[in-house]
Amino acid sequence: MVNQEKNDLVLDVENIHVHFNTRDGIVRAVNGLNLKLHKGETVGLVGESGCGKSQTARAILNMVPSPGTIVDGTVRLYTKESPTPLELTAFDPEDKTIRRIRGKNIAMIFQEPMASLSPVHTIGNQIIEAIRLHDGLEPAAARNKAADLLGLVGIPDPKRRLDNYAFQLSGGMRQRAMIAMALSCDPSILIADEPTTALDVTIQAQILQLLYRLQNELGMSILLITHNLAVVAATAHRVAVMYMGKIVEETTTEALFDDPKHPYTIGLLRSVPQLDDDDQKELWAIKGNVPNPYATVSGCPFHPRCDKFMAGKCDVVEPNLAEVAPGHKVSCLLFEESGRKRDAAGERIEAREGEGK
Amino acid sequence: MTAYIVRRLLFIIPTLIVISIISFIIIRLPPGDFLTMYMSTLMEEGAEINHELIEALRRQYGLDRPAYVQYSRWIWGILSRGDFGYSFEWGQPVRALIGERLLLTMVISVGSLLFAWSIALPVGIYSAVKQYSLPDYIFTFLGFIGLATPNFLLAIIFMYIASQYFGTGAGGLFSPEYADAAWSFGKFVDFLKHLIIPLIIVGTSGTASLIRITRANLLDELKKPYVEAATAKGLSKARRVLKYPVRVALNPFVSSIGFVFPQIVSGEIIVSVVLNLPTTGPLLLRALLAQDMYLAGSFVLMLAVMTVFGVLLSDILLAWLDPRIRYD
Ligand SMILES: Nc1ncnc2c1ncn2[C@@H]1O[C@H](COP(=O)(O)OP(=O)(O)O)[C@@H](O)[C@H]1O
Ligand SMILES: [Mg+2]
Repeated sequence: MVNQEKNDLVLDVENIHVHFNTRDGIVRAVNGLNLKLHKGETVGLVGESGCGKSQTARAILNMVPSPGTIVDGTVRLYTKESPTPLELTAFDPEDKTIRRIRGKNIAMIFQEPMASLSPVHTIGNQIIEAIRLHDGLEPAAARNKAADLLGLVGIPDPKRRLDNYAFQLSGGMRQRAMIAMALSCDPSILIADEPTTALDVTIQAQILQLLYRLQNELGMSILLITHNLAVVAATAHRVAVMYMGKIVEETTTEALFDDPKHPYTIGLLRSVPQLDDDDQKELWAIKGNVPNPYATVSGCPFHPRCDKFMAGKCDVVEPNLAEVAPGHKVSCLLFEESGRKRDAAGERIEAREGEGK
Repeated sequence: MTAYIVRRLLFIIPTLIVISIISFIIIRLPPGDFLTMYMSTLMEEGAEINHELIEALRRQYGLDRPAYVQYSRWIWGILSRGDFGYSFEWGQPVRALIGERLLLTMVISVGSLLFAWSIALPVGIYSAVKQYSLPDYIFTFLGFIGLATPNFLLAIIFMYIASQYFGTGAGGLFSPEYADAAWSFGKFVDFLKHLIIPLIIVGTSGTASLIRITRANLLDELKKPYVEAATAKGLSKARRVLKYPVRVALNPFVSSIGFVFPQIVSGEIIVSVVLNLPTTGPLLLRALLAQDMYLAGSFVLMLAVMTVFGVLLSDILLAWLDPRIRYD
């Protein structure tokens, strides 16, 4: 098991809020998210599409696209070079310091390798650019390093492949090339945003294996973003389940699959098709619809879809992410230890609402 | 790449044949020929008409032969001797008439294209990167005015401004003292000075449409994931905009050689008439009105050929710029 002592912390995301100010209203894409990443571990960030996973990743690199902004929260990066953490959210998105962090300390790979590579530049050109940008190598040395990287990620005949364009490679090879580009400056953190979603199932497994191997060899930390629980089961040490811009449950991968606590997590796990299930059983689906991005839900954001819904409580009191067992955090009123205090708060709100009527 | 160029070059041959036939048909579309026009002019002036002489002329110029014979003779003359035929109205070989004017037309056309590019690229990039900023609105407004204003109107406005406020005429390509002089450094400088106004006038609408195209294309490209990937790599804004999306948005510029060119050539005709420029435009217009068929036909043919080669040039450049076309 990975050591999770405090001094192992490499990334600390605290109470991040990302809002998109659109003509139709404010989208709270990320709504008070907390996440920690330790050295050498893989954390899976799981949730339905639209729950804010990608925007969380962008917020970490301080590159939320307009009209989105980080309205609150801090991202701290711990490096070997400095005893105090670097507050990434404190910088202007175009600041030189944050640009040096991107690609050097924290690298990112994306869902669609084809679209994420330039259509009119060779693979080599793009990898060499990243190497030279951060390492300042001479062109020839950078080219050699780029070829080594392609070899490292399992691309055959790497020297020749450097001169290929994205459209000349298969989907799996493209994603390998993206990974090679991300690794070009030995990042301590790799953020992989749905790295296998656009790939065939057999290729998916290869890419996940590659990430697993690279992590063991290079000792980096990986934030693996996916909507697919099977992907995290295979690769993550810890899993954070996200719903409407927040973490609702966070624990080790084993605990998540063996003893899920949050009704949403339980629903997610039950909606994964299982081969050993008996054929008659229908595939389970979480009731209700994926929430409207403009909506703000009072109380627990999941309460309209929850089958453990407690009227007068879940729709009023907002639960906190709290530790319910060692290393197992859940944000659900069913588990709130300080339930009484919360209840009291709930009653106060109820009472106030009652007065209003 | 070589295979691609060879294929495109081969494709040009049938295109040119069809174009030459169409040029010839267009020239012959109006009823009658140069001699009937000539006779009616004589009649209007009340002059005697010598029918025998007319018939003799008609035979001499082959106007009594079927159209395909006339066409074959004309094309054969061009291919074998570089002889574009004879201008009835001017009583001179077409080649002597066209020569320098064609060169001037090309100078104005290419110059206008360069003018359009040099304005449209930076303005288009700026407008896209700073979408909905005040300068973007101003450029958009000016661009639509540029698109909507007919060239001849611009020409008239410029002439008015030039004569009213600067006391110089805006017409012509040469000052009177140089008009018939041989080429010299002084004449060249004089020529450049006169060139500016026609370039602006002819290039305006092309500039305006290129700005719109660049802006729209770049806005599309800026949203593509590869730009975000470049950001995540740590590239500065200037570099990730200029290296990736602008490079992709450059394609319409190169294609513009193909489609802005004919637009510029036809715009040039009207502007040259208004500004009284010694280019092909005014001559073509007169030749068409007078049914001076070999002169008009040769003009239409040359302009079409220039356009075809413009398109070819743009296609080759595109293939060079964009590997997706090259490796097709
Ligand atoms: N440019 C944008 N304008 C408005 N809303 C956006 C924009 N980009 C993302 N969002 C919203 O942010 C929310 C989270 O998006 P995202 O992080 O991409 O979800 P995920 O990656 O989990 O599928 C979504 O509800 C989406 O509608
Ligand atoms: Mg996403």
